[in-house]
Amino acid sequence: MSVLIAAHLVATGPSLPVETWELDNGMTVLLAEDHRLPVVAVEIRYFVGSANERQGRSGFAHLFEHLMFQGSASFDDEYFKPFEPIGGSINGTTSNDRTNYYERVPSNYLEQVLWMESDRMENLLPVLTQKKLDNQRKVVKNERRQNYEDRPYGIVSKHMAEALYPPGHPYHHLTIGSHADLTAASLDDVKAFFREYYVPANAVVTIVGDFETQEAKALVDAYFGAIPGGKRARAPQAPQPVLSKITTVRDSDQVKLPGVFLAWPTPALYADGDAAMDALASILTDGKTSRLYKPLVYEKKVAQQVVAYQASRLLSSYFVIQAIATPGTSAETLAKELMAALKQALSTPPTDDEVQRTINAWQKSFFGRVESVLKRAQLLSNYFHATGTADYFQQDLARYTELRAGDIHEAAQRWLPLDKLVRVFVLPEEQPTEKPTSKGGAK
Amino acid sequence: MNAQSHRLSTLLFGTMLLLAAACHTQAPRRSIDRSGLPAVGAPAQWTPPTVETWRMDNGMTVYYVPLHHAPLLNVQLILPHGASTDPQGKAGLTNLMADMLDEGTAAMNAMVLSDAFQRLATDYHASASTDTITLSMHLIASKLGPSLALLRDVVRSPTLPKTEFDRRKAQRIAGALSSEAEPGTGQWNTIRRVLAGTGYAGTPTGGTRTTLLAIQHEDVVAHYKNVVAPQGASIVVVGDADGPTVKKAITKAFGDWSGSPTVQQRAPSPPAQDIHAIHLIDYPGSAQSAIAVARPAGSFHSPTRVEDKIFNRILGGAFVSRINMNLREDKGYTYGARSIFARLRRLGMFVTYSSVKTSTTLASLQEIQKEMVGIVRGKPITPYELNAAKKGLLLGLPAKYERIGTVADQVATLATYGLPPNWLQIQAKKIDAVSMKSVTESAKRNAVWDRMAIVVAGDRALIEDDLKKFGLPILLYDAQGNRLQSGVQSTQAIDR
Repeated sequence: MSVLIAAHLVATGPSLPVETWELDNGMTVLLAEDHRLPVVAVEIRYFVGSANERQGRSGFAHLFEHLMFQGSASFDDEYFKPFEPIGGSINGTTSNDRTNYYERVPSNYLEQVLWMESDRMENLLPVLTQKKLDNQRKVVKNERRQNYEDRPYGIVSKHMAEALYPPGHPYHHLTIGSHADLTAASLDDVKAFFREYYVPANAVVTIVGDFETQEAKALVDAYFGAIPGGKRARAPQAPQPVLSKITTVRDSDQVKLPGVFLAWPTPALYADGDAAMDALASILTDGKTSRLYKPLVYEKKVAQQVVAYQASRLLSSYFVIQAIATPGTSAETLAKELMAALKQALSTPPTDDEVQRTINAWQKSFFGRVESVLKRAQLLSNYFHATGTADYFQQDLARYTELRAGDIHEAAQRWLPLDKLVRVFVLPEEQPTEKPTSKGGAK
Repeated sequence: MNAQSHRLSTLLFGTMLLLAAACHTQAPRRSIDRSGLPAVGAPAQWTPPTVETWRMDNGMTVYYVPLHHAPLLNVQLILPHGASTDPQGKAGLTNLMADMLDEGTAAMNAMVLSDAFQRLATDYHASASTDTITLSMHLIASKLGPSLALLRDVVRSPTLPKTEFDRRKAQRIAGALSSEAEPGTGQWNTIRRVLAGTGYAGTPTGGTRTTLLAIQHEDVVAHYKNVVAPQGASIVVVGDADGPTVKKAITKAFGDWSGSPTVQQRAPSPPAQDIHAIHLIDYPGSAQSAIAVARPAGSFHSPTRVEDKIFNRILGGAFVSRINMNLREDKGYTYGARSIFARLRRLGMFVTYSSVKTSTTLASLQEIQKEMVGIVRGKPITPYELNAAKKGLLLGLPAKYERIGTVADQVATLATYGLPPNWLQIQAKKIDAVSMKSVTESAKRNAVWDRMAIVVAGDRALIEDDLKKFGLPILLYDAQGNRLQSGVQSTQAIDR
């Protein structure tokens, strides 16, 4: 009954109509008109991420993404330059699974976006210099220092990736890469990578917002249609990792309080069980009565915060529970209490009330996912990339609204065995009286 | 990955390609011109939504903007006294008090209340900035009535229980302690202290572990009585509801609430006498230094706010600004460098900041110095830069109306600073009117290297000798922004 109520939280759900089109050279185009505001968003996604990187070149896909902003043959200047004077929002991001580039601009500048994006897809290499590579290598190393090394608990993701995925697995290393591998990247690597992955057949262009479909198609065809198609990159393959025991990694870091991070391999993005794990995360740590927050933060006061989430990926996902200790609580005590609370939390199925609250929250989040043209563009190409169809919004929503208590309980039982997991303990390091001699390249 | 589902999606994909190919009847390909960026058509006509406002008998003002693209609402209750009302030595009190409002009401304890919000799928959030306390809700539009009923209880009849106080206080102390590990925390705590002393805006809005420790339960109870009242408060409602519904729901929740706040903001203190010095916070082992160059600026109501904004966009406020182009795209010292004017009700701060590789700390500061000096003398602002900065702000306006929450945040600015409903349109006209003369004057007024504080959070042992090359005093601080005995490593704060 509660589920019925949840499903009717809003009478009509959000929808996301889209037209899928393909150029002769194999480039996919997704189009969704929306004339509410005079803005348009373009996303170009290339089917290449850090999972495609070869041994010794970790971080390369992301370093390459930076080089895409350094100018192309017809516009050999900062890529941002023509977009900031028009109030554009532009950037690029790299994940395990893909690299994307996006621009949100006033709608009368759509052609400028297509001109710029197609020029770098076609004409990047003639003006790509060693100097540009060296500069962006330094920038990316600073990104690593800022977001991983100097950020409290920032290096945990590296330990988790290395312990969850065996050597050779596409997800064994971080998207940001290592200093040594970034240093090793050469101009030849850049050229080979561009020729293999940055081709129309390996790309999806998504346009959302204030445009006319026929006009947009003519423009896309004009700017991208003549670029040699190449071929779609072979998607990385790897079996779902299987853990056989508890692996514990201990690291000291510049943190003030111990942190305990638990991780398990879980079903891939959109696979059976993926949405159930999302819902489970909410049940474990959203709200004061949630199953881990209440005992650990509220009652026993061993954690000052506890957060669970399902990190969904194309090949396989992982589920994380992270807790930061209260002052005076050791990592060992926190871990013991966390495991005990988790055991208790997983022992019974969610109540109807818990299921309803969780579904309500997830259902509401879908409206937020389609509010901006940029987010919509990225969502559509996500769907296309992961499922083969951009028209997946209703199915995606149904993954949550149709969840039952039993689905969540079964997924929890199956995917979170308490004797097979990765644990990362981050411990405050002693304040050094002198500079430590060396901590190695990857602190 | 599940092999079966993968095969299925490949199959679907293949079918779609066939369909696409069948429909593919294209006109001949248009020719393109790569000799320059394409010509631009006329901009689409657009008018921003109107902000409707009305005043309630109890002194509250309502700001309402209908937006019907999603069945969502954003509601913000804004109280006009923020962290600047924290008593001396008890920084963080206002935030802790705001945080405690949902720890129990006359009708429900903290747990029941948390569940009640979740059942409605209403996200509730409380926070205090320097100038305001904001209690916000993001909700499904049909849940406005029950959500406001919860907000009403939270605001008007919180029980502020001692046990919850102890818990939240301990949690906040742990949070403050935890964040001290980040160089940026020490950097910003010190910037505030150097520019604003321990007066208005001088202390962090969330407090530090020392100031939080000093706060007692009775402080929270008293502060609630002094601060939380309808007179001067505002309610912002943006989203999918009609005016009469909003009016009725708000009147029901708050129409019979009365009272006035009886609290004083701390007065601004003058900046430190020795502002033009190196203010150093030691972070042993840090891979980067968090550097900043800062000075006090006018308040939100500064008559030169708009031209300063344009100047800032050119100097360091955007990706292609001079400082980011230099430090990141030319030198590779950093992942990014920016400058901002933080404008508050009674003062402002002009801050240029970046996290740079430790070994480039001195060189990065010297490049910032060059840009500061250069924009006034030797490398003046160009007409292209002026036009690009103005157009960038103006043409970006429509996109600020995409999301309900973003619109509500903009309207909250009107409420916070008592601005007219058409303020955003007035601003657009002012931006358009900024001249080369006024932006140049802004540069001369603000880019004054020899009156700026240099704040560095980094590995002292590796950078101090370099920093001495500026020939300025080097003053030491802890991560909470407290000045330390010169040259002595101590956690003991000096009472200033």
